[in-house]
Amino acid sequence: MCLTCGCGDAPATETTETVLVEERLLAKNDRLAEHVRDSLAAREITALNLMSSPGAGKTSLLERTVADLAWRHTVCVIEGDQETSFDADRIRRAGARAVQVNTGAGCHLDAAMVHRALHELDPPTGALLFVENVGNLVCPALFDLGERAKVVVVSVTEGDDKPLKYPHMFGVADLVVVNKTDLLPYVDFDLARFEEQARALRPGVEVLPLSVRTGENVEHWYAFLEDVAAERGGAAHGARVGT
Amino acid sequence: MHELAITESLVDLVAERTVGRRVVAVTVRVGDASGVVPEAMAFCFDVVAAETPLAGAALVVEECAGDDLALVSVELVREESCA
Repeated sequence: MCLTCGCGDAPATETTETVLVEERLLAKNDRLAEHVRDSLAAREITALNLMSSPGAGKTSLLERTVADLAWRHTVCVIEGDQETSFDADRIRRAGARAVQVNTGAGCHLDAAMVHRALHELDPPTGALLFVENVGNLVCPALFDLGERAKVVVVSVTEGDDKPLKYPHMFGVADLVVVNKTDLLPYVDFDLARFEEQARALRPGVEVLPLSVRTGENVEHWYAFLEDVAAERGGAAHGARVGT
Repeated sequence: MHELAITESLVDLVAERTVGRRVVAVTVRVGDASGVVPEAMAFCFDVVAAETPLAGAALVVEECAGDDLALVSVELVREESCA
């Protein structure tokens, strides 16, 4: 007996049909990222996605940036970490608005998390918005957050072989910051080798060595931010030619 | 492991397209430069698909060159109607 409606017909052999779909797996994230990008552009907000391994100095770089640029920009920060509000607390103490996103088991931020955080943060027109991703050189590379530029931060203590080890991350970078240059005399970090690897993955990408601690070269970081804000640099016009 | 989040996107996408119909197999295309490890995705798929209409479905991965990462097709149980 047919189990569907109880008629007297014998049950049919289960047959299947194949339906073609052809849709990118990250289509939903990418649509939301575009929505974020459009809504930020409408309010002339410049958003940058900061990615690095844990401890490279993203938060320290942002603390210094807040302190140095507060006179000319409203700086807002979305902080991503698995747990704690340590980083958002640091940014607030530095004088900027910040929202902490805890990803729990998650290893990266996605467009939905940034979208929700933006509703809470509500950055004003013309703001400089930093999204500090979860410390991780793998997963964050795959997720568009609606930013205008992606910045990868490494520190000299991590070693100069990171680009080839983490090609996806360096392949999407609009700027590569090499932090902690004040420690260069104490570590075997070959800056030329590092730059060569980074540019093999992202031709023409600017590699910017600086020290958040001493302030060496931070003016070049601020010049990059101004370029992105004026849409002269970053993803809007492709990577700039390196120095 | 980003494969978990990407597999959740896959299951959501299939669920949206198949609205409650029983799914036998899901075919995806994963490029060698996509940043996704097919074995990790297969591991996540069974866990994420459990207790959804996709439970028990097979995941077929077509590996290719490049950074493609897409849902190709879905094999569904044909809905029978009594004559």
